[in-house]
This record gives sequence, structure tokens and C-alpha cells, in this order.
Amino acid sequence: MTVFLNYSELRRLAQRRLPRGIFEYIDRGAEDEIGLRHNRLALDAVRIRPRVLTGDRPHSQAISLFGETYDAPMIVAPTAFAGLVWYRGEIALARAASAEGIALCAATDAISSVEEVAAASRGPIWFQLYLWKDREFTQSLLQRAWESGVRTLLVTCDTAVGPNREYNVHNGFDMPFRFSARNLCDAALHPRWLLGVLAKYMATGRVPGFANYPAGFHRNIFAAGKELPYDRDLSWEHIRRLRETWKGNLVLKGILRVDDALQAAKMGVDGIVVSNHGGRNLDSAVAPIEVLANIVDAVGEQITVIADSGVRRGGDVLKLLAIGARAVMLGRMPLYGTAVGGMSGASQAIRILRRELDIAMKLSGCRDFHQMDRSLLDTSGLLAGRVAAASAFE
Amino acid sequence: MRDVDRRDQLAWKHVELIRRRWKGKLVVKGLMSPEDPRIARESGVDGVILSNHGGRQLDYAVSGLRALPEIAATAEVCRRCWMVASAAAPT
Repeated sequence: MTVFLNYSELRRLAQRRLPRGIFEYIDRGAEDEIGLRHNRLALDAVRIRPRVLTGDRPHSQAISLFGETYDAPMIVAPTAFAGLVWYRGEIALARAASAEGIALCAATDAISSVEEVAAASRGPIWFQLYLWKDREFTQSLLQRAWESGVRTLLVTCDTAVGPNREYNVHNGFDMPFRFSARNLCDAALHPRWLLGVLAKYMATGRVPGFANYPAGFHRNIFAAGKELPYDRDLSWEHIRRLRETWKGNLVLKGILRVDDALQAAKMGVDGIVVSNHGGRNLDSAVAPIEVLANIVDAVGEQITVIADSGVRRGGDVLKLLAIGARAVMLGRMPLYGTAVGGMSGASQAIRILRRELDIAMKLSGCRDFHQMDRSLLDTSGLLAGRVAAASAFE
Repeated sequence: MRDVDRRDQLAWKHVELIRRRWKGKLVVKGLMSPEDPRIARESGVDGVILSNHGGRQLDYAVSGLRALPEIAATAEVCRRCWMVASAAAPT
């Protein structure tokens, strides 16, 4: 595995290895991808005011989330098709998360089933749900998750319709996967992926498909199969019903407004993820770091507030935690690590972030998360004018 | 064997130790947090340099110049200490 020292280098390695269709599906945003850039500009606009000479007490990155202790305030986010970047990629990710002592959230749209991912993990995994129209299918999937030890359920609320990602159309990246001259060429130009990933599936007789879906639906990404529609009319009523049936922790992913956060708390959820889906859904959405403080102030005492979208450096984690997030989700970074080196690649990616967070904490004078509060930050750069002005020079 | 690399054990008590031994002017360099110059003064320091080490340490630290107004506004600190804000020279 080629050495990489940070997110940028890792991303470039993943770009060389993965077929363009898969890489761009992971890497890019929506429409003009202004949201993707905005997430980074907003994170970079927040500066730190380090404290010095804070003495020699032990450093710790440990946190507790929903009753479980973890070694660091990071969670591997539920990204779809991780099994397409590496042979049994979701398993590799689960093993990496366990090795690095952080939580992992498995995805509904995964190539490996929730049972397989849970078995590969040392502790209980979290599970992300896209609600299907068919309630019976949804219920049986939740039953499977529960029986696999899942006690924390993340419901994605920010994908009411399929987002506008034009490059997927150009790349011919769609489900069911249809071979075209373009994507055949794409695969042929990436032999390490072709031989290392696709060929391995074929050789073991495991055609990649959505293992969490009920029989007959998209179990084979090449076959047409029956369409299993998502429930596009998701409403608070669905959450109310879910709250009644799901006995574990319930977390809503994709909250960006104080009123929605308050509503979530009122519904009795246990947590929310302040997120704009990595800049992949609504191109004009605010960046989580812009709205996090107000949301934490409104509901932070009642429910667990997690944040994500655009995290690339340990310093980004520091900033979000200092504003008030309990932990941060990581989408692209561990996934690129998996693409480049399976479990070791993903572990290395997580370790890099942990090391960067450690250095950032030490250079800022923070021994643990109790010392991380907003007095550590200069957020004047987040004022609308400044971030907008910066992006004008991009 | 002196540990020349890891300095994360340093605390204000070490500054006080140096203050007791050094009879000349004592200046602490690399402050950016608003409370730190006050602690420096209480430790008997003569001056502070607001600095982010030329942007070479923590990539997302504030600049000395941005930290200056809030710190300078603490009049008590101003009376007792002289301050130098170090900033990258314009090219």
C-alpha cells in the first residue's frame, strides 16, 4: 500500500485506483458543487485561539456515545456501496473501526449485509436506514438489525428525493448497473479495481448486490430486478411511528435548522446529525458548522448532537467539538482508505485523523473535550459576507 | 537525557520558575488566547508576543493581528507590559 500522509494524498491515490464512475460518485457534490466548496470554506473560516502552558495532565480523546465508550470522537459514516471500492469493503471498514476504537454506522445500501458487518465488528454497530414505502420490508430489516446487536439507528432525513448529480449520468453510474462502452472503458483503465474488486466477487460467485434488500430486489447490481421504492413522503409522522417501534437509540441524520432540531427533540429522538450529506444533496444548503452553535444551544442538553460534512483534518474535528458537537462522522476519508488498502488503508486513514486531532489538541492547550468550548474559537470568519467573499476568489 | 522535542508538559509554573532565576526582562512568545496575557502578567512576565509562529504550527490558528484588539483592550495588561504582534511581512 502506498504511503499517504493526509486526506489530499489519500484522495489522489483513490482517484487513480477507482473507476471514474465510482470515484466521482463518492467525491463530488450536487449540481454546480458550490455546496461542496462551501463546506470547506466554512470550516476553514473558523480559527482557533490556542491556550498555552496548560501543563502536564494526560491527554484523552475518549468519549461516550449512547452508553458505549469509544477511543475517539469519530464515527465511520454510512456510505453506500463501500463494497464496490474494495472486495467486501464494508467488512474492511468495520474491522478498521474496531481496530481504531471508534464507532461505525453500517448503511442500508451496502454490498455486505448488516449481519456480516456486525459480525466483523468488535462491539455493536450502528445502522443507517432509508425508509422504504413498504413498511413490512422496513420492519423486517429493522428486526434483522436488532438481532445483529444494533441499538443505535440513524434515519436519513435529508434525501427526500434523489439529488441532482449530473456526473453520474455522464459516467453511466446508475442502478441497475448497465454496461456501456464508456463504463467498460472506465473499468478496463483501472485494472487494479477490475482484478482486485470486481473479479474477486465474480470468482467467489458473489455478484455484488444490496444484501440488506429483501429477496428479489436489487440483489444483483447488474440485473434489472424489481424496484424497491423509497418513501418519498417522509414526514414527522413516520418518525413518530418509528419512535414507537424502535426500542433502541433513534438518531435523525440531516438536520440543519433549529426548528427541526427542536421538533426532533420533541419527538423523543436520542440524537441528531447536523449534516448536509457531505454537500451531495442540496447544493445551496448551509454548512453544518454555520448552524451547529444555534442547534447545540437549542437541544444540546436534551439530545446528542453529532456533526459531519467535509471533515478532512483533525482540526476540523476540534472545531466542531469546540462548538458543541459530541462527535463527528467521517464519510469520504475512511472510504478512500478502504479503496486504497482495505482494512489497513481505512485504519491508516482513521489513525491519521486521530494523530492530527491529538496534535491540534496539544497545540491548542486542550487536555480533553471538557476544555473544548467556544472560547477556543474565532468564528468571526463565518459571517455571511466573509465566507462568500472568500469563495468569490476561488 | 533532555527531551528536546516534546514540550507539552510546559505549564505556567515553569514560567514562574524561570522568572525567579532570570533577573532581566522576560517575554513570553506565542500567545493568542485572550486570558493568557493576564496570566503572564500575574506570573511576573514583562512582555508578551502575540504570534502564531508565522503560521507554521497550528494551521488554523488566529493571526497575532486579529488577536491584538481584544487583548489590547485589557487596559491593565497594556499598562504593565509592552506588546509586539508578530505578523508575516508583506512580500
